[in-house]
Amino acid sequence: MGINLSEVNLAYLKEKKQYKYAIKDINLRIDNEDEFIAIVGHTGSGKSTLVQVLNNLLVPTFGHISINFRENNNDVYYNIKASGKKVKYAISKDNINVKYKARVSLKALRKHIGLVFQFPEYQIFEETVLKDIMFGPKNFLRDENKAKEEAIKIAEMMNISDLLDKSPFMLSGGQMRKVAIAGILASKPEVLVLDEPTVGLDPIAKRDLLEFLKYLNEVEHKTIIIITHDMDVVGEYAKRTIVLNKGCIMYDGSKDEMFKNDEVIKTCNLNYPNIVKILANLKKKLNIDLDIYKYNIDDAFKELNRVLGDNHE
Amino acid sequence: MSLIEVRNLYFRYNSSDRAVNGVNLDIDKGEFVCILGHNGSGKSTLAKLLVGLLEARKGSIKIDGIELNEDSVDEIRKKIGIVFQNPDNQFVGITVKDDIAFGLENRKVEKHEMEELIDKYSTMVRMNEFLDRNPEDLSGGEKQRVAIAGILAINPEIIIFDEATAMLDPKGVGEVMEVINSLKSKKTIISITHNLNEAIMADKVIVMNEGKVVLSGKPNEVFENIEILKNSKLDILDSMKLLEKVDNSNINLKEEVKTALWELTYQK
Repeated sequence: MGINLSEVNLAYLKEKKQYKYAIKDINLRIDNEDEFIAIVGHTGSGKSTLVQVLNNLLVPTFGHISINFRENNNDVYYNIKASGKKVKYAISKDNINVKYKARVSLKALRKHIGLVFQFPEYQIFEETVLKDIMFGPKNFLRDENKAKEEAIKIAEMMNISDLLDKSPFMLSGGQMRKVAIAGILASKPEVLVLDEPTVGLDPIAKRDLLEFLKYLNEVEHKTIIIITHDMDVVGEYAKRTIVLNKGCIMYDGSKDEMFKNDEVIKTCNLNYPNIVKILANLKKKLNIDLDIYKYNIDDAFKELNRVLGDNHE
Repeated sequence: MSLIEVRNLYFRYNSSDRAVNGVNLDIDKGEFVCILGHNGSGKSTLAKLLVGLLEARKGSIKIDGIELNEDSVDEIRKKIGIVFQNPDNQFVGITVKDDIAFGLENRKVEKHEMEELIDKYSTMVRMNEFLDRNPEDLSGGEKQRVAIAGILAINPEIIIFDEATAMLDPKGVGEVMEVINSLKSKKTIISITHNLNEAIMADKVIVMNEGKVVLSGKPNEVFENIEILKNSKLDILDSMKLLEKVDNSNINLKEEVKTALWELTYQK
């Protein structure tokens, strides 16, 4: 179950038969449960392209994507194949090949993989928060009442019930972003992909949003994929990191190993989380044997206590 | 007399809770001031009041001795420029050059002088190679630098950066911060920011909450007030949080760890 990318490439035609690859030879397996992935890399390294390929907003130039979900107790497979400019869609249900029209299959696919763009609050357009959250499920469910039910449920879960009757344009930046994300969640995707979800939020709104994503991941078992430049976020929340460099996957694994990998950090010009920097500084200044790969204050203090604690005369 | 004097300033939007509730403020010539506050604390509203984009209900703003009102707003805008958060919302020109020229054209600057100024300020923000490019094609950091050049060309005494780096990637943040740092002591700078590491470097830090100034002073004086910062829904620097924990513990080398964390915070 999950998303499988094999040898996926996406090329833009620049000029006269000159192609530029936005992503190149991507091989990736993402589970549709319990993953919390941070995709990092330079601007222009292909991060946004990759997540748009995942839910087929962009069609790969070469390669193959297979996506496998459970739908009404059936295993549903979406196969997206690309060869040159021709794209073939095929959906097999219970291993019987059924060909749908592309539009229908994409709609179903996007129900499973919700994509939240950068600055999603710019895409809010309805008169009330309730109507805005309902917009997605109304399209997927084709039932106004059910859509409303879903929207109210999601609003409760996100602690924004008191905003439902308000105009989205009267809200603060952090609240607007929550509403925009609620609109995607109301369609109940298993996989939620967010492009730079914390940019422009103040520290409190940022923590609030990240803790909610953590809840979705740990309690609701959703797979969360975020694109971010913020290494503090990577350190504290990601279970797995994927580093893109010039369209290729340069690293795919745990954050500890990523931060220890000097080549990756240097090549991709990645930063270290604040707390790691602080511990590295203490380690050097006081000449003590600290494990510097800690990502929150409590763990950092525990580590200090382990090395400098009373039982350690 | 301070360069900027704000006295008992009040403002409220018609349809929102956001407001400025009796702000008093003094900023001296050449100071680098950071204003901190959570979203909705009134800091951007204050910035818009300072440049006359919003009109106060009560109170006064004096800039360089001139009281801000309907008659003086044009004169005051020669003294104070603002760079906004969203790099896409502040372009008027088809090329970078046109865009930098916009403010100069409005001030009826002679053509040859204009060319000189564009050359000077685009070089200052290292965008002189991009003069014929369409601003649309630039990265966020490049766009913000063009916006800064456009403001510098008018030669204001004061520049306000209203979360000018909040929407940029780390490379863009670095580029813009480099330009801002190069302006320190040449201009009076007011930076509205969430970046505590930037605030640490300021001459003065002002903390806003619920439309009021709740703290004001040198960075180390302000950051000592952990309770007020928490109540203002602000983050505390990681090194300060760790310092607090170490202070309440019995670990060995406690004083050495505390000193190291303190030095780390203020980069002494």
